[in-house]
Amino acid sequence: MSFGEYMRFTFMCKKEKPAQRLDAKVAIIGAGPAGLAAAGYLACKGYGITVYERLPLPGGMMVFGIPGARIPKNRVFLGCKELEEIFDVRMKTSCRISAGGEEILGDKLAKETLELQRAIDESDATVIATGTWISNALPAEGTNVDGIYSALEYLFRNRSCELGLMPECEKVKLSSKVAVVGAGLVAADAALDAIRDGCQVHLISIEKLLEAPAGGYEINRLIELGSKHTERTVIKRVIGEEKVEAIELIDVDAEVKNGVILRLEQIPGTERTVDADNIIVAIGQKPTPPFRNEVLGIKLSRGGRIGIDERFMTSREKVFAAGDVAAGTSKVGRAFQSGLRAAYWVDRYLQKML
Amino acid sequence: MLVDVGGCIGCEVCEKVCEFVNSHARVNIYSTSDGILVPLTCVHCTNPVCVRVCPTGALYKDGDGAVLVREYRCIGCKLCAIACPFGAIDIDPVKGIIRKCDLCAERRRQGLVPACVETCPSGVVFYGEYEEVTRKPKRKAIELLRQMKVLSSEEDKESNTQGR
Repeated sequence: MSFGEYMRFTFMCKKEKPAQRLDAKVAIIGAGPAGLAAAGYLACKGYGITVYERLPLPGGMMVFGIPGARIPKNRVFLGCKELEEIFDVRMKTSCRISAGGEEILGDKLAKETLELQRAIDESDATVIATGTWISNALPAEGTNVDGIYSALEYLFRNRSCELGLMPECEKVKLSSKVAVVGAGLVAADAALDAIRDGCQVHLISIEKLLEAPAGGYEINRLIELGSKHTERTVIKRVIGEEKVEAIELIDVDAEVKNGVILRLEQIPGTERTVDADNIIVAIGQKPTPPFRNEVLGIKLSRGGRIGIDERFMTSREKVFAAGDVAAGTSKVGRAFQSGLRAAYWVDRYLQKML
Repeated sequence: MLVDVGGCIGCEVCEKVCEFVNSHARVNIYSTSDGILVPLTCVHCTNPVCVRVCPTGALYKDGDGAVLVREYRCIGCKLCAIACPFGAIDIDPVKGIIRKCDLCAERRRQGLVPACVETCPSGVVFYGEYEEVTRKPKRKAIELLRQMKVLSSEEDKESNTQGR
């Protein structure tokens, strides 16, 4: 008997359709770790589930961001296969749910767009788990040139090409000298990809090596693979007429605690210019609810997150939110647990209704 | 159960799922002083030190090989917590007795397996017969070595073309 062969989202029950099927439908928007965790939990309870995913394959960041060496994609796909085949979960991939939100990275891969209102109306409860797919822009002068990419876009295109969803020509083509800004796991993953693509990587971060949210080990590994790491530094200005030709760095005085930058001041007189062909930016991401502004009575909280109460319910009755779109960018584990907890409350809510 | 620490990516799914299922996480991700993320949990030793030092016989091994605690016998002396080479035993601050991974005893009673085993995205938590448990880390290690070899040959290629 073999266990743990794949990510079993339905781990809360046995590998068989529950005997008691509940006459309620749940719509889950987003098939990342939070959405899939919620789908698995509720499938075990016997609900009818539809998962809407704008990308052609499920998994979210686990598949389209994090490299396969860390999370083997098949483990996610096989878990989804079980959801579909044994638990009758409807996985509607390439199906974007929107209420007039702006187009974001990856939307081009969707084949259809459905109205959020419809998804909410056609279900007895809805869980929005759409993550944080907008990257923070580099706060430097002269960034209106070619050759600057968000780490997320770089990773996403690499993964999409690996999965055969995009032609090779759609990959971000990096030249030899690449500056990667940031010191979190996204920065580390992007740096690894760039090294694999044959680039010379220069990691630039406010954080010192041991303060890096990615962990000192990851940064050291990048250095061992030939990268350079400059700490307590930011890019002040991008130099180049139409594309990146060089970058002006400046030292900073900063205080970093638990991955949070508490204080930041540039130190005048420490400016210096280094060569660069490309800049990859990994300095945080913003939540991407499937709507712009507060349509449909779903209020936003700080930083553009979807506001939820202790039951994971939004300001709109029967609409819940889980994962990074409600809590901000976090590790897979936190998003996964968020999906489970939201699902627990969806179940409690629906039990009262049935 | 065995966790392949080398393959762990520190994603915390195990910790957060355990917390959800068991109210308190019995597997935790810790960071070493040089920033390596390691998962720490009870490994259910064949010859457990904790069972040997327990003065009341509260700790024991069940039929599946899991090391468990009979709560009513635990006097909170904490000898087991100190003796465990893996620091896998915690003290419950409310009850004053010890708390540890029980290989999801309640789930096993229902015919399920430990939650972390089934939810680890990277597949580094191994559970089953001894052979099962050791075969997979070997396979994983071979795959990792293979990737290292591929990456290092690409590095050679890169340093050979450095002059452009």
